Amino acid sequence: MRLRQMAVDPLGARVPNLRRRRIVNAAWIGSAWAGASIAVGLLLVVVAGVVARGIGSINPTFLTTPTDPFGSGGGISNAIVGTAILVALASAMAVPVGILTALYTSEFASRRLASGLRYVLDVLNGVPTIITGIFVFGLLVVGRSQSGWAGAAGLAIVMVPLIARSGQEVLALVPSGLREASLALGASRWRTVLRVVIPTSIGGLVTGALLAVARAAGETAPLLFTCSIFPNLVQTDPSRVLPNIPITIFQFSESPDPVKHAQAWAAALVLIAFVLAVSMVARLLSARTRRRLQELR
Amino acid sequence: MTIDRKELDAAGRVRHETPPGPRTEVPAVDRVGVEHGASGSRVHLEDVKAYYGTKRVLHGITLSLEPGVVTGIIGPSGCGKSTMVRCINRMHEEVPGGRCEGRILLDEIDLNGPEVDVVGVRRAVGMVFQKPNPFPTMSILGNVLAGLRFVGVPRERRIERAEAALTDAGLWDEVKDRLSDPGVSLSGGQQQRLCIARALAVEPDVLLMDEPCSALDPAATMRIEELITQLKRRVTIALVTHNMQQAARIADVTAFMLAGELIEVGSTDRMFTDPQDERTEQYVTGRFG
Amino acid sequence: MMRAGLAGGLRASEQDLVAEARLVHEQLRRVTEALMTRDPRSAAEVVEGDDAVDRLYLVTEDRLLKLIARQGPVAGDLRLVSAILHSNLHFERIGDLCVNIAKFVLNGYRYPTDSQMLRTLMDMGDRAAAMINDGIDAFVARDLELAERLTVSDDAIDVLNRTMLIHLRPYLGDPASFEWASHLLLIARYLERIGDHMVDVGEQVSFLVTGVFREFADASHPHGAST
Repeated sequence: MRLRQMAVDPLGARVPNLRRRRIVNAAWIGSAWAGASIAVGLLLVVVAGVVARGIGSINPTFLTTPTDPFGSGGGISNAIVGTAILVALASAMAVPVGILTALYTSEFASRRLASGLRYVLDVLNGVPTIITGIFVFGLLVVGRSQSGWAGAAGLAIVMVPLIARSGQEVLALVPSGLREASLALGASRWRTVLRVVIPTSIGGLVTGALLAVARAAGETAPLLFTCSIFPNLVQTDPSRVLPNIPITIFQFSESPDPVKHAQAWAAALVLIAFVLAVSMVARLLSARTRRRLQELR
Repeated sequence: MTIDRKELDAAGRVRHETPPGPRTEVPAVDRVGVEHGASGSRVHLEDVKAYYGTKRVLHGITLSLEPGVVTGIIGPSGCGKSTMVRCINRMHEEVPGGRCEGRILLDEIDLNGPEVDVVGVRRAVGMVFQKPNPFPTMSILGNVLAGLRFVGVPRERRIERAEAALTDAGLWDEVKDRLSDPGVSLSGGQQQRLCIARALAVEPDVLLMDEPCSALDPAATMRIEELITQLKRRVTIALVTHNMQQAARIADVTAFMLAGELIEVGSTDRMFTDPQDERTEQYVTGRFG
Repeated sequence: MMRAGLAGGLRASEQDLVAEARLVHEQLRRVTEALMTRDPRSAAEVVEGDDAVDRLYLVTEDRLLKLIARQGPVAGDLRLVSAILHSNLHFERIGDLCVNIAKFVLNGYRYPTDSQMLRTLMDMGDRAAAMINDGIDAFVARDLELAERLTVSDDAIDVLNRTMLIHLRPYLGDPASFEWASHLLLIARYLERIGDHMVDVGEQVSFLVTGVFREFADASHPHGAST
């Protein structure tokens, strides 16, 4: 019925190769759809794989007991606490630096300097994290020892370009009319930034920071040389080596004990759950901020 | 029926033998609507040149904005009319590469003088922009208070000043019961009046309006135009508009700019009935280009 | 809601038009009185008084041109502008006709004031004056009926104008009276013209109210053609 109607399309004669056009069109849409499906499928497979292998070992004891290096009764509480402290310290270092960098490039720097800074941040973002790790190792560990500080510094170096670049993008969304309104009222530039620009874009800035946190929580390479030889007990002093989840996963997976293998999957599940949760909060915040900024355009 | 003597005095003397018609001597009612006792300041631009980097966009503008007068500034897009008013409150220098030469006097003070602080300039010369731009994170009241905070008005005096400003902007009755609602919850026309209130709250002597109605519907435009007519007694107004009819309706003096030059300035009556420059004639009749 | 500048300008212009009409009415009453009494002083006042009419004319003309240039009136506002502009010219012309009559009085002819010609002119003058009042009243009240009734008065004036020829006959053979008598005939013609001007004002009222311009059919232009 529908085909019949198309066959007698009264305007069909004006479009050469109508049939071929329709086929090519369908082919393109089909392959794009397939690509998107593969991406979504990969995420599902990874998450499902981790959940399937790890869920069995997740129980209150696993989450609240430190690692038992020999028996199978231990958990990863020392790694959870350590990662929390490492990420918190790294954030304390990276968030101010990242956001100030974003503010400087968007609000104060000349156009040429700003684009140079953006390039530098992109390069920094592209530096392999193993190199970041070696750098921090050379700077803070050689001649002293591994420590939570060194690990946090390594993570912070990973976070800064992420926070700064996402911050720049959010600040670019703040309509210039708002800055002008503030300046025209006699406010200075820093006052304009403090009173108008930051309050308007705060949601987006927090989003960027949260995504960087999610990323840092799972980073392994910067910790490998800086914060990887730790005792199997809960440690809170950052001047000592802090246990952490990524290295724990690595160590468990290297163990000959199948129980430890299962625990590696469970630790991976804890990590991935944390990353997903933070990403979702970030996404919610970002959707809200973007909607508001879009309305202001 | 008595005849209004003043009206008659305004007209020229014409002998009755003269055949009446359009070619008869035009009565001398071509007077500018100067409001006596108007309280704004006089702005005088003297050979003002403006640059973006090395590109010159204003080629020496000399123009006065008189108190009690709405000066309409018209001209095609890119003629420099916005740049010119932005030189007056030194917003032009906020643009990367923006630079301004020449003297701009506010009464006796040279606004570009070395000892003059830009904050003082912007307190004396307020500005309203093309698109209503209330601060999105602030309430209606907060928006009006913002300017007062910026210029350091003592806390206890801010509220009364804010109410007065909202009243002057013709917005008080519409918002008095919802002062803590976000400024952006208002309609476009109300937002623009909120921005006018925000600018008025710091009690400027001059108000620059850069196409204040171009984002508004006709009814909101009419409200703003009425407001401008009322405000001119209090504050000297420069109205940049790409809407010629708007200048015709509410400007007392109209300046026509073209390619960074001031082509002609005169009473709006004259500019729209008998412009002296051929280019003005072409522009106001819509035969440009 | 109406734009303040436009509303004010229109109101002022209509008020000036009314003032002009009242002034012209006064001029006509004064000049017919001067004609009846052969009073040169009164006639001179009419000549002087026309300056005020002209000034009102120019003020209105100028104001409305600027109103068109600046306020862009449309629809009913535009019709009002057009109607005032046209009527303004008619009243100004009526003022000029009064001056023409006054100048005749100033010539000092010793014409009899109790002649049938004078009585007819008085009658025409009264009717023309009434038409001025009716016309401006119709304008202000937007009264279509009253405006159309102007043609009735105009017909009567036309009839009176034609009887002037009959009343002229007794003086035709007399060289002493011939000159003033033919002037009186011209004055009848002026008064008749005033009637025509007021019919045109009535047509402007009709246009203002209905939006359609039509010439009122009457004895003076039976086919809708203007005289």
